[in-house]
Amino acid sequence: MSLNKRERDKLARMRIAFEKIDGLLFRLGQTGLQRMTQSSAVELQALAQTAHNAGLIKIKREIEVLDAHVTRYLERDPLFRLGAYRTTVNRIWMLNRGARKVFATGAAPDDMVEVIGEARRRYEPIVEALSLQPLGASGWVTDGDFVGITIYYQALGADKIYQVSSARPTMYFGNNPRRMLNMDISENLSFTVHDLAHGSFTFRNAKASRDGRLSMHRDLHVSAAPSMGVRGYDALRADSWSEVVERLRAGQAHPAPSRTDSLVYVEPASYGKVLIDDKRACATAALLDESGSRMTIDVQLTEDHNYLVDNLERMVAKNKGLRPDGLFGRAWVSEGQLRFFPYTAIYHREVKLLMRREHTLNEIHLTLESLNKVSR
Amino acid sequence: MTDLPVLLDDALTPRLLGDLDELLGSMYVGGLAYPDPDLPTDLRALAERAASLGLATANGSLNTLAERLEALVAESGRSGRRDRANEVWDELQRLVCWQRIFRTEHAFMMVQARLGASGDAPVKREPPSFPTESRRVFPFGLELAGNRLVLWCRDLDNADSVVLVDELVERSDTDPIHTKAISRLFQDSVLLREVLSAVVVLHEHPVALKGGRRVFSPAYATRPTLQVVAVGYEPPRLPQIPLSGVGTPDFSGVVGAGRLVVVANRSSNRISLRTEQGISTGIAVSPTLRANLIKLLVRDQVESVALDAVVVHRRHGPVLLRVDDELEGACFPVQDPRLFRPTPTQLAANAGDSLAGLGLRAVLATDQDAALVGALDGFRPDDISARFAVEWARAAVTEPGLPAGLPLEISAALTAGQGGFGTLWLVSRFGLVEELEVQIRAFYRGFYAEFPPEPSISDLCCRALLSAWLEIEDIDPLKFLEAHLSALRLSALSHQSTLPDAAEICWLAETLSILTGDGRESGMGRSFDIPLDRIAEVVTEAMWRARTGRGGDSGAQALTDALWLARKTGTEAYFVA
Repeated sequence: MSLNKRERDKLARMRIAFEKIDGLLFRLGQTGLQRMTQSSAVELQALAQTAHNAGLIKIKREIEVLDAHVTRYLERDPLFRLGAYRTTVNRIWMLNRGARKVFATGAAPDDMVEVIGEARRRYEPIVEALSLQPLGASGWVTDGDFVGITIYYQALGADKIYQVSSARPTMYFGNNPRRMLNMDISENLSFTVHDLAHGSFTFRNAKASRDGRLSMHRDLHVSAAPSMGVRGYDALRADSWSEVVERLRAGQAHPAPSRTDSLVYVEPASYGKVLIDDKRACATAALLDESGSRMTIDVQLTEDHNYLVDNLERMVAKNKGLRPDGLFGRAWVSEGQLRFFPYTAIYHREVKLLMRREHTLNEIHLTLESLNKVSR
Repeated sequence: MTDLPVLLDDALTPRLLGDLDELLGSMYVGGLAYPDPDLPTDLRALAERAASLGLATANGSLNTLAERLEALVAESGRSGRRDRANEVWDELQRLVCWQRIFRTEHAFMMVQARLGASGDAPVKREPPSFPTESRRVFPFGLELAGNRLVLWCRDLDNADSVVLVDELVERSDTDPIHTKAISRLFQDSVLLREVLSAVVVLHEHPVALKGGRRVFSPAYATRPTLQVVAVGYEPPRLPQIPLSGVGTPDFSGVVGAGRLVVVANRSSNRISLRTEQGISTGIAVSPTLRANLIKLLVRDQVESVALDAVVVHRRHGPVLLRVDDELEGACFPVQDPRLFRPTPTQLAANAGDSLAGLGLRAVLATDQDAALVGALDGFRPDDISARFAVEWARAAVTEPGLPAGLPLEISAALTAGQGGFGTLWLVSRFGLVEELEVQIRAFYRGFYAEFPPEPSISDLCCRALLSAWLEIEDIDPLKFLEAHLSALRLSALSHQSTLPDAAEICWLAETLSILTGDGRESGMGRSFDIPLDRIAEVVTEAMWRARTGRGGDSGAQALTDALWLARKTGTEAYFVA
């Protein structure tokens, strides 16, 4: 295999970076937290730069996290958690070993992306037309002052979930993702975010990144496609909460998993009331499966979740007739409980959403669309 | 994680994990350069506890870490000490890794165990808030308004009236029956022609009862399937709609669709639909239905025709859903624009040997017709417009061949200022632009001197052609024509406005194809977007006029022009079989 100069240089930088990363981790371990000084944080920042230059992006991100932990410790920040610090050191140690192993096989940097990550997402063209059905959508606001909406799609005939995101700086667009619903998804497509969050579509000339994000580029052609109905959720369907746990366990098979939660589609047999837990500052509601097992809807009481909490209260109320047949969202295990964050309520019989005009839909995105405006 | 199964009922494991956390924490805080001499003892104690819980991996790792710590403490040499410290560090990371994975897996197993424990009281699923039914139905007709499709059906088992409501996406406006559309109800791309000739099987489909009819709308968890029926399948007979004493249809006792004999005839430029007693049925005649009925009257060479129709009564009046025709079978004349097409022979039956008759036969000719070519060759036109008509017709049936003396004829016409579209078309047809450039320039000067303030389509075509041939740069000929085409499109969309003459629209198309270099048949490949019902209006009216031959040459000429328009707009197949 012949490598070009850029690749050879990158591999040379990688070899040096591996040593530096292991060396600094070892020194931090030798010194111990109690003897650390500001220079340790400075060293970590320099190491992050070294990792970046060597193309070790995953490691670089973890080093930045470690730097944040160290800085918190030095500043006596009550948010410092020793366990999180230890886990981050361990993740870097593991990622570095993993990268070293692949490096030792003589792989080219481009073949190591799975292990080392990439600085910017690379979008590869997809030759076949993609038939996509939205599974759900959620609005979000980041700490980095971006507001956005992510739509999750199931590809017909492929066990793959794609995502389309629309993000804008809060400085210009405020921090309410719902305002973005009626904006065009991109300047190249005449579909609003709301359009693409409902219905089914064929994407031609699509480009997707390794993690399933679709690019809204100029040559993308989007047209309507037949709906898959509830079959669209088959790949994510869990008929019992035990299956949800098994799905989560399967996701943890990797020694350094990137996520600890999983997207699932569930059809609860029964819904409990929405309760407000002031101590944990969260809203909860029980979801029971047919065996009576319990999974808990868990939504943090933050400003951007107010809308969702209102929707949850209306959704589970028995007299409103808006209990959905299914829920799409994210499940995870925490504090010995199975928890669930709902993105979208799915109705097997269509509902009417009054938003600018009347829409006949089967899915209501709970962080974006109000159940107050939904009728049977 | 072979250690895990032994732990499920053990409350000591979380305590062990907590103590391990604390010990590891002290190593991370205090550092390993100078480890606490008690650490190996503490680690061995934890290792014993892990062993007693059956955690072999933890036991091994804790003991190894203790040994390596002891080796580190015992080492005095500088390089040896560094090696020992590295070994401790690596083993520590392995232990932390094990602890992290174990803790996650343990949490999953504990949650799984809890789910199992809490799942002793089965919960009855809340019943759906809507009733569902399974049925086999046969569709008798459809209504289509915008994207909303209503299929009127009968249950095959109990003759209940059933309505399927659907929402179509990307359906064809001009030919919804024969082109695929995306259906929400069927969750697929469907051809309505196939849906309307198959049994629709509904399985546990949500249903609503409205006005005595069962209404099925798109559902998410289920979708109907189509069952193809055998050739000659006889669908259930619909009830006959009774007539009142005065002969008007009485829908009061009919739920859903029923049968009615409807007589269609044309009088004073209108198509009326009456009962056999001659009383108006009240059925609205849409442009497509009107065009179909005129074609039917022309095809059958009759003044009025009795239709075996399926009709449903709606709030705004009765609606014709379907007609059973001897030749077409079950058909849907309100939506299907291809019905009842006369054959070329039927249309040319009254065309004589006049120039108009030859033109009509030429546009209807499907292959080279030697007799027709001979008749055209033998025709002696007496002026340039007749020459144009002959060559225009000949172009439909034979390859171009320059008739003797034609350049002189054209030259004389240009010099005399008789250079309408026809003359310039002849120049283009026979490639005489260079040969006659002087005459064309002379004509151009005269043409511009008298260019009318409100030019006709012929004037516009001439100006575009002259600008292109003489490379006059004051206008871009294509853009110039496109601009006028936009005005034509707007006028075509408005049903109140009158369309320009069919022949003139064809000239416009022909000019475009000359300028773009497209083939003659694709003259309107750059779609004119004239709505099909406007074209149908022109063609069917011309058919009606020409059907008896009483209109003489003008009738034949109008039909020729209309058929050329249909051909140029790619709609000929809607009108001629």
